[in-house]
Amino acid sequence: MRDEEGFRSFVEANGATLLHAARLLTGDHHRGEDLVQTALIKLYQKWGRIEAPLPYARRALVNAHIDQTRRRWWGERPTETLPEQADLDSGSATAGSDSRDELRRILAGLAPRERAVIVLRYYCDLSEQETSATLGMPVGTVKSTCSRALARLRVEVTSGAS
Amino acid sequence: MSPSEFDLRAALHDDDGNGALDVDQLIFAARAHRSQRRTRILSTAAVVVAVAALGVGGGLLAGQGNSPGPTSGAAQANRDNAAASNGKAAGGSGTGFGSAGSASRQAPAGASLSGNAGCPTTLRSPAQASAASGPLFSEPVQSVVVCAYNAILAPRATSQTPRGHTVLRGAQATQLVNSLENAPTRRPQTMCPDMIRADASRFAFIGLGANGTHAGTVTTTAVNAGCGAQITNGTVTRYAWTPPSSLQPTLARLAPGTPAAGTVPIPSRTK
Repeated sequence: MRDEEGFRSFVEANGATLLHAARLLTGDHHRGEDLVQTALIKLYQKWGRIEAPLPYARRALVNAHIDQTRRRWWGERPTETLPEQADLDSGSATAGSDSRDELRRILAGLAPRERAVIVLRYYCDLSEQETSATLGMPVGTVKSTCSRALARLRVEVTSGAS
Repeated sequence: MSPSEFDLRAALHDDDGNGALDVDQLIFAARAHRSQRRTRILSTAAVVVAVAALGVGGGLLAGQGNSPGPTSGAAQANRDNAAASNGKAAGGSGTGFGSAGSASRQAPAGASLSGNAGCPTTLRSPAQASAASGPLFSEPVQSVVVCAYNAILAPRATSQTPRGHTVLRGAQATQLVNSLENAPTRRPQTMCPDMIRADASRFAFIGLGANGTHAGTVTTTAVNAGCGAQITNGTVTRYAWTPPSSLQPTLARLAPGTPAAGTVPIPSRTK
């Protein structure tokens, strides 16, 4: 039997943070909820066999996000008829005109791996080593990816302001 | 404007903490996911087991269809080790050499074999053989199973049980095979008595190649003291064969009616 109470406590303590990270990664509120649910289901399957649930959950979150962004033959397909449009004025993360919303909108335009590095480094406040361990990439790659992502953000923000 | 790290952190932490997760729904979804996963794994395993069982069963059925009898497994082992086991059976009661399975596998057409050391239970009559020339054995013979029979069948008997059997190997086998192959290919002009002694014997010689493969079975007519025997493998026939003198004691032990060493065939009458 799994330690279900432990899992509940973990979700109550870290669920909101993971959900916000998922929203930042996906750039969408609902897709973020789907993503965090996917990651937490994976965590539930492994619960009791892992020593550090939070890093595992972060890694599952990022991996699931990167996995979802890959094009698949069974995935989403372009269509001539657009589905019902989401209400952009209902508190969506991509809406807004102030600088913070602008930054988050630009963040959604980054590559999935760049976005993951930015979220882990500046939202989850992980070190380069921890980010490297979470993403499964060398520290040097984390540094270069982070640098490239920040440069793109600066360029986008500067061009948007001008 | 160029965003600082502070701005970036502030932007990312904006609206932080909004929204809560329904843990019960999450656990329910996780259980459903786990159940689906187990079902999928069990289904795959069941299909794999079913396919494997079908394959094994089909293989066994195919193996039974190709085998000559119920002792096909023993027959295969005996065929592979026939040459080695021949010597162990020499002079024995028939339990050491061959089996019904191996005998059936190696038997030539026209000779039904029993489980008695692979010795045939019916011997060809001379009338069944033609006088074609050629070797009696299809390949070099390394060992010979010698089966001895009574020359006179019991009344109404359709098959014979060998009176004894032995295995000759090496020089003895070579001598026997040479004597068989070098027997005259034409019927001799001398006449032999039609009378067959009560203790006269007939023989069947089963030749085995280097790997224990069957090289041919040669049967004889009654070997009488005064006349040579007619020998045949069913296709090729030789006449006036007499056992080599060095093997006559061995054959005499198997069949007391066999002429002893030094016996000279004496023609009783001439054509």
